[in-house]
Amino acid sequence: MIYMTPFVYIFPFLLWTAAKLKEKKNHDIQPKS
Amino acid sequence: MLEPEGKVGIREFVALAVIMTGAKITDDTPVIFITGLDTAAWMSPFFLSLFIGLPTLMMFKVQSKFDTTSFAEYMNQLFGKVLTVIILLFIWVVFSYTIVLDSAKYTDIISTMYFPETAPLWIYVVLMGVCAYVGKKGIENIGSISWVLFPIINAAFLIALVLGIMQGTSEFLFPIFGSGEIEIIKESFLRGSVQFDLLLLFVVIPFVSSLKSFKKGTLIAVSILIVEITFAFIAFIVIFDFETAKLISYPYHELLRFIHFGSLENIETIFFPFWLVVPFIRISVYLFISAYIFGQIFNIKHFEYLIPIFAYIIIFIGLIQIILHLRCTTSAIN
Repeated sequence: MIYMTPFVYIFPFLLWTAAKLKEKKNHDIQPKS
Repeated sequence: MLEPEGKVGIREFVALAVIMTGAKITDDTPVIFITGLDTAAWMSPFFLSLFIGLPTLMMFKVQSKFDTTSFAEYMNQLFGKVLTVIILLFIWVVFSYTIVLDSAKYTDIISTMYFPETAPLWIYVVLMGVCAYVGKKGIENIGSISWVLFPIINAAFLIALVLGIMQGTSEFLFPIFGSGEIEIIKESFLRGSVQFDLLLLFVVIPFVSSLKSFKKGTLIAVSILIVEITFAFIAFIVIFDFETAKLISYPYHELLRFIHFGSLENIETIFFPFWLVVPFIRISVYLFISAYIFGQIFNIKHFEYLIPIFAYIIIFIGLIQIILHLRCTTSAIN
């Protein structure tokens, strides 16, 4: 199972980055009032 | 308070998480830690929890950004359908292989330590048969079983460890930093895969009564686990010394053979039934999660019907592991 070590550390970081990027994208496409 | 149908409350969740992850102490995982960390292996749970803290926090953050609690649904929103299927398939394959390895390991423990006369095939069939039955009943039932047995299992486990620490040689713990301070941090970091189970708990969020219960439950479970694993490592080192502990396949079961209660010897048979429940709960919940992930990938609503089929396939792949292990052992003797 030692081969799963990179996955355990990298996967949450990837997920978090994707969520942040999506949040930023949603914020950017909102029309300015 | 009554929980919604098909969901577990915070108590059941904590019991489930502790039994699921804590079971690793009773197999060959401690040997992996002691091999790299020598006498300082008992410090690794603390450092490991620090390293895993950040990824867990990130998962909590991501989870709180979405309305849905389904792992597959919010991954769909983030990565798209194709990438989600690829990632979930990867997790499922690795996880299923973990079930094969772990179930084969437990069969090996029961067979070599307690029932050497019985064929491993029958032990394996009984283990997987019961686990498939319990797993098919759903996480609510597994949670209830875990909560009912949680105090008994942990009491038996702690009594064994305390007896081990009392009857061991405390000098074996020195030098306190083992192979060095930097080595402790490095080796603890490299063994982060042990926490794969903790990440898997995020898959079962839809089955926990609320996100708040899940967060609180995870923190409680991790705190209990740090104490438990630290105690276990101390017991293994003081009873065997780290050099011998490296050569033992299953230190917990060897420890049970070493300890005695006053004039009462061979007390491993008293502790065996309490331990025996742990693999059953662990493999049952693993089968349930595996079927759930598979159901999410291929949109299968009643995924619980997959559990018996998975158990059947696992027996055959796991038997190959056992046969290979037996062949290794036999050739080593000859």
